Formats: sequence, C-alpha cells, structure tokens
Amino acid sequence: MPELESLPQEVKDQLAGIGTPDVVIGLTSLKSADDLTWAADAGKSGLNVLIAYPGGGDVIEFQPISGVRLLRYPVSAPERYFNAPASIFGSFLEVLQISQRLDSKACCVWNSGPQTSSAGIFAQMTQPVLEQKFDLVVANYIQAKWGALVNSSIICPLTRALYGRRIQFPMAVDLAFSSRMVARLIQSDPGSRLPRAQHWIATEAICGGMQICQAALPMEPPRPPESADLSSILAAVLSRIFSDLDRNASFWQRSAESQFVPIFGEFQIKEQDEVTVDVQQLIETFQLGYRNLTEIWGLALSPATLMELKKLVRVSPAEFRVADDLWVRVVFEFALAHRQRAINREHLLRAMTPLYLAWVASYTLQMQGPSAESFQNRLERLALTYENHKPYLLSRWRWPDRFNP
Amino acid sequence: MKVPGSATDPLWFKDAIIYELHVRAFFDSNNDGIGDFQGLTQRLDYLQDLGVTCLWLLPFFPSPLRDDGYDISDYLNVHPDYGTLADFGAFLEAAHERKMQVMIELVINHTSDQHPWFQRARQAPAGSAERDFYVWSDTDKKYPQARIIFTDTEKSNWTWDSVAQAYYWHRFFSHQPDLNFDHPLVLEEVQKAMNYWLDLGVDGLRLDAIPYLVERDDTNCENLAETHAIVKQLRRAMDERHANRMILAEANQWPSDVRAYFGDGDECHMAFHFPLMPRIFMALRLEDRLPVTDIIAQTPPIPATCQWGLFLRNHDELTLEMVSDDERDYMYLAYSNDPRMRVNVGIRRRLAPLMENNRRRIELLNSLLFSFPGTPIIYYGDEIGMGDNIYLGDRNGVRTPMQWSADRNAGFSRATPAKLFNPVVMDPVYGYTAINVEAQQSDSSSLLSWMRNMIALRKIFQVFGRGTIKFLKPANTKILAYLRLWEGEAILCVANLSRFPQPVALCLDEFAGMKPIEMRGYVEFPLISVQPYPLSLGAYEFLWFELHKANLGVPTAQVSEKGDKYA
Repeated sequence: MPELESLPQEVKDQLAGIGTPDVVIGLTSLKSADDLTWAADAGKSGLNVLIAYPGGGDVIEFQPISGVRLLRYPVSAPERYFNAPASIFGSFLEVLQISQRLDSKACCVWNSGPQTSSAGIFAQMTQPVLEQKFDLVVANYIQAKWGALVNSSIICPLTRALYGRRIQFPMAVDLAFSSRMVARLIQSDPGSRLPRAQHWIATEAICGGMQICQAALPMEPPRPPESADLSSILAAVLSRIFSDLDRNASFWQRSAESQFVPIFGEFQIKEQDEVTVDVQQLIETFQLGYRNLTEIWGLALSPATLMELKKLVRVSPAEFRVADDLWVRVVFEFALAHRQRAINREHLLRAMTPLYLAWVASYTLQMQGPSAESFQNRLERLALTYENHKPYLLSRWRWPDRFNP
Repeated sequence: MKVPGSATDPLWFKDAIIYELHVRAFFDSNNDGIGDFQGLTQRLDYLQDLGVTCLWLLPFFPSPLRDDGYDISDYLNVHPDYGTLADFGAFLEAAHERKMQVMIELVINHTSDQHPWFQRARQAPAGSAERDFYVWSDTDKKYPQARIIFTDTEKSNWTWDSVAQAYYWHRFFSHQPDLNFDHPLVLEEVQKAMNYWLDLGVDGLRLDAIPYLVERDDTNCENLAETHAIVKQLRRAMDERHANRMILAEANQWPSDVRAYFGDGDECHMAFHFPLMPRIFMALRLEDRLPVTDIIAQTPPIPATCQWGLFLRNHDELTLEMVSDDERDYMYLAYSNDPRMRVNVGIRRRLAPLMENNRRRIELLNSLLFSFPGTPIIYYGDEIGMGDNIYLGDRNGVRTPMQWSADRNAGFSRATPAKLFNPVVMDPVYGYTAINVEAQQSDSSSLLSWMRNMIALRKIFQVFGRGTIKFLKPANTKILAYLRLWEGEAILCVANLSRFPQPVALCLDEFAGMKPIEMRGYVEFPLISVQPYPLSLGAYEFLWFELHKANLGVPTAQVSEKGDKYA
C-alpha cells in the first residue's frame, strides 16, 4: 500500500544526520519555549529521545539536555486530513513520518501541552510499547463525574458496543505507537487514498488487529478550544465516528462481546467533582429543539423514539429522565440517518445537540445529591445498554427501511 | 516496478460485485440517441449508491457494429459514437475515485473484416506475414469437427473471400475472421493492445471467446493445449508489467474444461460458470434442487487465487449449450413459449420476464446469485426489473436503453425517439413508465432498494466471495440448503424453490450449541441441537443465517465488576 510523504526535503536532510532514537516525541502545538523545556525533561528517563515540534516562525533557543535532540517540522494543513477542527483531533502525520524515517522503537504524539512531570508521563506512555510490545497506547485521563460527557455518553460506550474494546477515552489525543502501528497509519487507506492517520486511531488499531492498552495519566482530559461551540464539537466527533462505521462495517458487525483493555498506571477518579449545571436551561433547549427540529428529527428517528421524546417534552423538570434505551436508540438512529444521507450530514448531526443536552440534563438530575449512585456504575449501565441494543442497530443497518416501529 | 491498479488487494475480484453494462445503452449526454462515456460518468453516483464495485463494459472500440461491437476494427481507440479516449480516461478516473474497478473486453479470437489487418491480409500474397494474420484455406472442408456456434445465421465456419481467392476461418459471424495465433506477430499485437489499456489504468480484462484461439486438424478446435499456452503467455505479460489486475475467461464449456483456464493459477483469474446458470432456472421451474446440486458436484476445485464468475442474465441469450438435449427441450418449453424468444442455442430474455415479473422469484434467484461461491455479475437494468423486446433482431431485445425515468426516451436521451440506437421498452408491464430508476429510488420497497440492501449485506461477509460451499441434503428436495464456510465463519443459506410454503428439517448436528442469527434482520433463532433443525419457508422464501457461538453477542460485564476492569 502506498505511503504518503509530506515531509519537505529540508527536514529529510536533517533526519539523514540523526541516528536512531528510542522514542520520537511529537508535540503538535507549541506556545512557547517553556513547552519544549517541559517536554525535554523526558530525557531524564534515560531514554534517547528526539522531540519534534511544529514550527514555521523563529527558531526557539533551547538549553541542551543530554540524550535529547530537537527537530522542527512544518505543520501540514489540518484540513488536508481532518474534516474537523485540528485542535480537537490534532494533526500528526509529519511526526509519524519522522518516527518511521528514523526507525525509532516508539513514537509518542502529545497534544495536551505541558503537564506535571514530562519524564513520568512519557515513560508511562511509551513503556508499554518499548517493554510489552503494545502497538497503541491511549491516554486514560482522570475520570470525573461531570467531565468529558460526550465521551461518557457516546464515544466510549459506542466504541465498546460496536468494536468490542473497553477503552475509556477512545478519542484521546495523546497517544503512543509502535513502529508497526506507525507504518500502518502512514499507509494510504485503499478507499480514500489518504493516510490512515486521518481516521479514528483507536478503531484503526482495533480493526487492524493491533495490541492496545491504556496509560493512566494524572491529568484531566483536554478541553475543546474556547472558540468551538458544542454543536460543532458534537458534529465533528459524531461525523468521525459515523463515517468510520461505514468503512468498518464488516468488522464491527461481526464483533460480539466486549473485552477489557489493560490500563498501566494508577487511574484516578473525581467522584466529588461538583459543578453547577443549569438543568432548567438544558431542558428548555431540548424543548425548543423539539419545537423547531421535529422535521429533521423525523427524518432520522423512528416513530417510537419520537413518541418518547414527545412525552419527555411534557414532563416536569423534576421528573425529566432520558432512559438509557431511549438515548441509545437516538444515537443509533442518527448513525443510521447519517449512513442513509437522509439530509445534509452536517445539519443532521448539529440537530442532535438538543437531544444530547437532554441527556446531560437527565444525567445531572440523576447524579446530584448525596444518595446518587457512583457515576461509574451509572455509566457502566449505559454502556451495557449500548451493547444490548447493538442488534437493533445491526438489523436496521443491514436492512434499511423507512417503515420502522 | 509494476504499474499498480486501482485496487490494493490482489484478490479484489473475489469480493467484487460486478455490474455489466453497455456504454451505448446507459446514458446519452449529447442527445444523439446513443449512450456515451460522458453520460456513463454522469451516472456513476447511481452505481456507487447501488453498491457495485466493478464495472464491466461491453466493447466500446471502433467497429462497424455488426455484432454489437464484438467486431472490432481498431483495438486502441474509442468508437466515436461513445466519445473520445479523453472521455474514457475521465470516466476511468471518476470510477476509481468512487472505489470502483473497471473491466473491459479483450476480443482477441477475431476482428471485424473491416480491421486494417484483415484488409491488408486479403490483399497480401499467400504465405506472407500479412496474409497469415488470419486463418486461410483453399477448402472449406478443413476442421470439420468444429461446431457452428451461431447456428441461426452461419452454415459454415469458412467463408470465401474473392479478393484473397481463399476461404477464411470464423467461429462466429462471417464478418468476424479469426486471428491466427500460430503467427507470432498476432500475439505481439494482442499484447500491445492489452498493455495499452492496462497502462491507462483498466483493472480487468474479459477475454472473449477464449476456447477458440487455435485450430488443429482432427480436433474440435476448442480448448487446445496451444490455446492454453497463449493464455499463459498473456497472463505472464500482464503480471510482468502490472499489479492487481484481473483476467476473466469467457469459455462456454463444461466445468472440467473451464477448469483448465485457471491453470495452476497462471492463466485466468476468473471464469464464468456457464452450466450453472441454466440449471438455476431449471431448478426453480422444476421446484427441485437437483440440477443445481448436480452441476456444483461436477465442478472441480480451482486454485485459491481464482474465482468463478456467476450470473443470471447477461447481454447474450440464456445459453443452453451446456445442458443435455432433454434439458434444453425442457428449458425451451418452460421459458420461451414464443419462438421469437429463441436465438441460436438459447433464450433471449431478461431476468424479470423470465420470472414472469414475480418479485419473489426474482429475489430468490438473486439470493442464490449472491450466496453461491463466486463473484456475482449483475446485468444492467436487472436491478430494477427491466423487460425486453423480443421483436428486435439478434440479441438486441435485451440491449435496450436503460430506463432512468418516466420522461421521454426513459430519461436515457433527449434525442428524437426515432434516433435512439434501439427503441426503449414501452409495453404496459415493463415499459419505462412503469419500470424506471427514478420511481424505484423513491420507493423503499422497490426491487432497486432490495438489490441495494442485498449487495450491502453481501459485502459485509467475505465468506460469500471466498468461502467453500457444502450442500445439506434434507428430505424435501424443494429446499436448497447449503453452508458457506471460511476462516471460522459459517453461514447457512436455505431457499424454497417451490411456489408453496415448505417445511424442512436440516441436519446441523456439527453445529450443535450454536445460535443461528437471521442475517437481514439480525434475528436470533432457536439454538441448534443434535436433533434435525426444523424450519418453515414461505413460497420462494430464502433465509440466510450467521451461525454464532451461543455465548456470543450477549454482554457479560457486570456493573460493579471492577476487578477485571483494570489490569
């Protein structure tokens, strides 16, 4: 399969004079020299490290550290590879190419910026590759009751139900790869002829039969950029997931029960992370959506689902609950509508925002108060509902018909 | 370095869904009444949406068109009616962009009598290199054992040429003289033509009339060792320069004879399974599985890198050459009550009229096409149930314009109707006002929607294209039941060939403990045990099941199960 090469000659010339590092660490953004100084601490782990950082402006002055080399690389235009804001998914094709050219044993792509101890973090990320032959290490961030709810309500349980792997943050933006995985990601996809790195990395690894693990990191999941609104984030994330469903249909339709994915390190949970959520406003947004978006929802959702939503509009805020099976059906039916191209896909996915907010409102109401169950148990029940309802998605995927219950 | 094809898997053709079409009949972009490459390119989205993955184009080369383009007068160009080479290139690129491979015809047994090679040969002195491009004789009695193929029009395989003052050899029409493959320059020229199209990016070549390349005394001039040597040489030449391409053999022969065209994986990648096709129709009409199981039993294994090409209907007649005399008589009685439906040794009708427009019969036959071992080939228009016109000559009745809509000329062309290359079908049942793409696209219960769903379903399971087949033998012979097996995957297919509901008990004890899941609706059926597995099927109904281990598909994790959640 052809590989795509986007490194300029100047970088290739520089690489020719560099030996083989143990690890290539690729920073995908750089705000100041402090970022580099932080990353360079990785050299204290005793590994021979090359830090590749994005550039285009002035060369950054840097105090040399033993065992650490720096390389500046030009950033590819994100829209070349991603149909989503670069800051959500990152762009790291160049880093992978550098790693492959240098024949490094592991490659770590870091999107999250400086954290506590870089030596600890990079060791955590790369040791499973260097010492245990894993192909993909996915960051496992601190899990919080109110954090990363798009992940908790859709990405994580959907990945688990469809692809059969229990990865806490399947769309983590901090990743480490074996050379085998790097080689796969820079190959072009037979269909799109674009690098596989443009796809959702976790499912790419699952479908490619790669060994996957998670690295528990003492940091919260990266927040989406301030400039991005919820609708665009939701649309970008769902677009990526749903598009992959089409591409990987022959895999996920034959994958059955889910399997655990090992975690290295001490994972952390913030059960008591209380925040103030304006539930009333979320519910009103849902009700407004019901009034204005029924036509679009009608193209995606089955009559039974619409009926449930109609009932939901009428209930008092205190009784407002989105049942797990209703929520899962909503997600699955939007996935089906996305496949069927019932309407413009962007419009379709944005129309899901009020429904998502309804789920957040319901979740908030359930999780508030001292008697609330542990959020982990709550989300585990949701994940099981996704798994139990997978046959529903399968049947409607395999035999599309507008005449549904 | 080899020139890569558009596919990355060398065995792409095993998973393909091939769609056969004639550029002339598909869509007319310039309103001259004849379909063209620009028109075909405009309709690629339709084909992508249908789900087909490979387009097989009937001959589009310059030709006098006395045999629908199989009489080629220039191997290296496009017939001006259909556009230009640039149009072809744009089409090819657009098809590849949509992840579709393209297969074209390589008609090498014969040329048109208008080909410059033949015109040169008849003028050249006997024994000269130019003359010997074709097969000549002073007598028309040579090779008497060779049968005549077009029995309706030809009385001999030899025709007198007054310019050359000699007879020339032709296995098909008299205006199609056979090339002489004993002449090394002929093979050289054929290889040039092959490389020309492969270099342009074509993914597959259908070798037309392949058994007849070489003639020898005291033989029937079919399937000779020398012919196989030619095919091997073409394959070698292809493999030397090109990667991930495919050759499909048209050899209307018995399976044991066709088997030889796969060689040891060093001749053709694919070959049509001609004898299977009429037997599917026969089994349906007789409501008995025997004709199908019998011919599959007679089909020898083929190399792992090879594949059968399966079809229900194509651009030719439903050929009855590979059946017994009794079987042929039965087929004529069953499927061609009007003598105009017959041509040569076959029946010139499309699928829907052969099924008397019975939707369940059409679906049943397509379910067999999609689940038998091989690559399915769909003939254009059959996905919407197009009809035919038996009042047109030769096989033109099944080569009418594609019916896109209820507009003038079926939406095929804006030309004056009289200018169309063939009239559109206009009868009340199959006419374009009743049967057309536009109507069926907006109808989720249409045959087109059904075909699209079936194609998508088949594409999920590689076992259909790559697996083995094992027939079950239930007592009720109106039931055709078989297993498709590949790399641990097992699919059970059951079809009722009868027009009435039928019970059946299947012996599935080797799968005891497994759970059948009906594939279209993902519906779980009762577990299989060592006892016969009972099923009831409605008229012409078919069922496909995935066989799963009983404990799969049910999530086992517990809500509070923390111990094994983290390593």
